[in-house]
Amino acid sequence: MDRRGLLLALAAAAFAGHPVRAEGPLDRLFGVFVGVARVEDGEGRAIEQRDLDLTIEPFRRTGFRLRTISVTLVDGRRDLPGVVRREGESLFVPAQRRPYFVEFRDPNLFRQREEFQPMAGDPVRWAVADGEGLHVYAFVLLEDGRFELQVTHRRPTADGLDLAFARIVEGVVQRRVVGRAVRVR
Amino acid sequence: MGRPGSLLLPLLLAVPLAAAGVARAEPAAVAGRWAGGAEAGRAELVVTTAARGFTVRLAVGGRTLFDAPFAPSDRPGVHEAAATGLFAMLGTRRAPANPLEGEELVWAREVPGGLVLSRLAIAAGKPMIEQARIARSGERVVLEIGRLGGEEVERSPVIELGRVGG
Repeated sequence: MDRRGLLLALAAAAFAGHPVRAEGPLDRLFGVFVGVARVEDGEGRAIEQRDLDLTIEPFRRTGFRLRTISVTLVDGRRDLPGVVRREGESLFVPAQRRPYFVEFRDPNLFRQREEFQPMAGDPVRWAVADGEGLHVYAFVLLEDGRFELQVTHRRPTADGLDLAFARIVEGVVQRRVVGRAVRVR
Repeated sequence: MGRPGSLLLPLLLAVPLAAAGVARAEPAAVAGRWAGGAEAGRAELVVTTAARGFTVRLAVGGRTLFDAPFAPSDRPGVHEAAATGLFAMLGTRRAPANPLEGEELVWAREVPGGLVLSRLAIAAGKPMIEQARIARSGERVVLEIGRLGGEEVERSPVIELGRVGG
């Protein structure tokens, strides 16, 4: 066996020892997307229109990062005074022995770990990736003891994502966002 | 005119008592043993008040929905399921319930004439929220069970409960 053949054989042996990771539900959601969304109040009345810029990318091999930029339009335009731009980022890693992801909390070596206290209003955030798409949940106990639940669904389509968001307070929908986005080339 | 201190003393006593949840009106309004409803959906409710907090046991149709002691939280009118067993005997707080680790978050909030009991659990990745609203209505207590199904809370028909054992 010549030198080239030996290298190929070694590469094949190494490859055999590390099987290709099966594609999971997250893989088809990774990418950069741009789109539009309509914001409705709890009665279904349209109150805002937004441009969206969404990135879903791997984080620490088994988790994922969500980056969102939303621009609330003025009269359907983004070049008029009063436009609001919001940025958000969330990191999720797999929960131990549970079929969902939990928000990643960066441990700070210089500060004692703060206790997670949902009763004091700490948000409870988790996400599920399944055959339908990516579902992100955020639960908060409000100051008066009522609960707020935010639910976001991102469902893959042929050319991007369908988006749906609902903010629910004590079991009543207060705000809904419905939109779609296409994958950026 | 009396000394200013004579006015100040009751106020100084009242503030910590109120903060500790002593003799809160809303749990006391539904205190006692109550039962009612049809056989399949028969509801049994026991509310016991204590110097600090209260205990609720509620079963509907043979299924226990809530069975927990509650203690005042740091938020006025909001109570959290308290430590039980060894933790209570040791007088220590247990670590706060963490739904992300499979524990149920159980709490109660005061409403006029009663309480709303709530529970959050994560089941197969989805939020599961159950609620029981119990409120005094004259000589009876009305009970309404709610369950978050999808995005809205589905509420069962109201069940009227009468006092048991006088």
